[in-house]
Amino acid sequence: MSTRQITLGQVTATFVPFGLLLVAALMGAETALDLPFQRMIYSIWATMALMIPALCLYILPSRTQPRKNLWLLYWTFAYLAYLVHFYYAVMVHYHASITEVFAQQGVKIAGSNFLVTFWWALDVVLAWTVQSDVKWIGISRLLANIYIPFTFFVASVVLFQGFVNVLGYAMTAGIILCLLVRIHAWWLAAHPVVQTEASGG
Amino acid sequence: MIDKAKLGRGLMKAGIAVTAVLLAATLLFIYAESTWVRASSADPEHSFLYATTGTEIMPLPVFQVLPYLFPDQFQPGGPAAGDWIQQYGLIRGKEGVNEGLPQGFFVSNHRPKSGAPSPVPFVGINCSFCHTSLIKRTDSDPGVMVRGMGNTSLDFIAWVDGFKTAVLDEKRMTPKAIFDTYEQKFGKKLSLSEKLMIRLWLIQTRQTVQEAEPKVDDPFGGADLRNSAYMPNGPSRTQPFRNLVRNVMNRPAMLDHGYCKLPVLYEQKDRDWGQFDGSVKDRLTRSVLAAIAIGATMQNLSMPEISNNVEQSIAYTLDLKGPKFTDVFPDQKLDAQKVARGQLVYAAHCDSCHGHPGSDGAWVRGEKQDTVFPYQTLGTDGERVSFRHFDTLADALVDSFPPKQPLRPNRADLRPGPMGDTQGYIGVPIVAPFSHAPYLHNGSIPTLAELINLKPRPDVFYRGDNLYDPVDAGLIVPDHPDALRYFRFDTSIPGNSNKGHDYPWAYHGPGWNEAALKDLLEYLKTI
Repeated sequence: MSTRQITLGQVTATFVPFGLLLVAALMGAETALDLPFQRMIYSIWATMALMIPALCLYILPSRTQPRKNLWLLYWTFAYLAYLVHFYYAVMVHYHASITEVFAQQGVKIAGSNFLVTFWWALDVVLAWTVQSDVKWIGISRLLANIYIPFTFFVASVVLFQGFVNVLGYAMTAGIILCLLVRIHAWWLAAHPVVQTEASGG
Repeated sequence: MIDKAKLGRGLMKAGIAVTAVLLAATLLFIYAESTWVRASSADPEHSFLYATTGTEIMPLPVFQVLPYLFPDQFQPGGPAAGDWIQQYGLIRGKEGVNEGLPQGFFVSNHRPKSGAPSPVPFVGINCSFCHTSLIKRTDSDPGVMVRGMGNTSLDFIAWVDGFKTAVLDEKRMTPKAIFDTYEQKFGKKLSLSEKLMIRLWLIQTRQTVQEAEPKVDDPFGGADLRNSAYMPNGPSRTQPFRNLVRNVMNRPAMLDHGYCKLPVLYEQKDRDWGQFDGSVKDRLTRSVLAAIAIGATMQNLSMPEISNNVEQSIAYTLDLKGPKFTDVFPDQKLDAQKVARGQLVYAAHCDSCHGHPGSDGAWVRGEKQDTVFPYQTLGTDGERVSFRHFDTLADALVDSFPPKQPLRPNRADLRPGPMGDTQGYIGVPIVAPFSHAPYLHNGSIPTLAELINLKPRPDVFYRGDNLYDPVDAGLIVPDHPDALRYFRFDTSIPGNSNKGHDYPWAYHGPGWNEAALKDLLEYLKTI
């Protein structure tokens, strides 16, 4: 078990982008006649922008404590931005009616969105409260880190068009790149280079 | 020497603090924003006259300067035909009441469509815009204002086209022109928030109008706004189903000739089915569809303030009394003997379809009241009930609302549908019939005397700010145009027919009895 000591630098590196992105999302929507709708859109953009570093930090090898801290903070702030999106979507756009959400989005999409909301919340709570390596938490987190980005990929690349596609492709590229780095590190660890005279020249 | 670590920590703390302050300020702003609009506690009368029904159109400062910026669009008859209020047949507002706006315009802090809060007031139109009228006997007569009466002079569709033409004019309709004109006219500068909102509104409204052009064509403007060949609705009429087909079915509705006069809204509690063809049952649905046809959305109609106003406006019309002829025309004395004889004529020829007022004032239903009579049987114009998509519009309307949406119409409340067909016109109570002018659903008959065939119906006449004739009970329509009566109403074109409804008798037809018809006209002035 490691000791979590979140530094000022880590908070700055995560809270400042979170705050500025959220302010931009909420105030940027003032330039639209359909204010709540734009807040719903811009806040999901902010969520994705914060989620990309969180996913990369989760995937990349050598999970040192500072990196874990950064992951935790980005993961948490991304979720807070997501909750803002959730508020404008469910409480405002769908008039706080779960029935209306399911009726308009369909059972598959609405069900998936609610699953993401609760699973992500659970993972954030567990990440802050449980520091030891509990196996089921690790499995749950791994699955969450597969399922949540998958749903965002479907929404941002497959279902919708516009600037959100850029974020969707950036997230996808980031995940693939980090996975390659991880695989490469794993391959190096599995096949250590043996220093010989011949190879050493 | 600078301690770099200390400086770094200081910068980080400053960054966090600034971000936190920005976040807090944003949240405070959002809270403050929510107080710009509040759940309305307006009473029914106030809601009907002055409150928002989700049909916001433009920022108040734009509304105030548009007639000055675009006299060509807002005074299409030229300066001699009066100011824009007179030329479009609006009812002049009072100084100090509702920003002095003409009757039917409201001011709210909702943004158009979304209903989101706006720091800048917006202007829109509500029920009383179409359903309040002036009865005037001379051009200088201030007139008697009658609430619930269909406005006899309002040229709504022309006003909308003039407005759209102005919005599309990228050279003259600029933020700077709006700001400068406002400053010139009112001697004060617009605030930063007003300027920002006007810029935002102009960009998005122009884009919306431009996007619709391929479907609905360019709006007309200038003198064409008074040309009945281009603008076939004219004063006191709209094309409600053209708008619904466009908005709901995304079709151009090019063949639509379903011109409808602005109806009266008295004592709506006695109307089981609304519309001239009895196609809508639920009162809320009637109002919601009317509001959606002129720009409201499901989103803003669901907001507490707006939904309350709609419900209160409906409540206002449930018991709204029609005007009394003798109150409006105190100099007109009715002949009691003629009235008594006319009542018998009415009972024999009109009562079964329309009913009559009982001695206690309550409406006594006619035997066939609420029956939809095929338009072929009545002989009246059928365009209103046979337009393209007539048979599919009701389904499309219901489907345009998400399932479970609170405002989604019940399919059984719309016809044609499970409750029957409506290719005809419904027998309804005729409260204060003298104030229903012009007559028939399409406003093709100027007076009550002509409706009952006491007098021949004119084939061509001119509409606009027509004066009222208490003798024949209806509008005085010249046979040539003047500055105030400009719209050529030709009853031979589709949608304008003045034929049919030959009750009690066709003009000079079998059974025609001039004396009995004069008695009937006298009686009709009493109910």
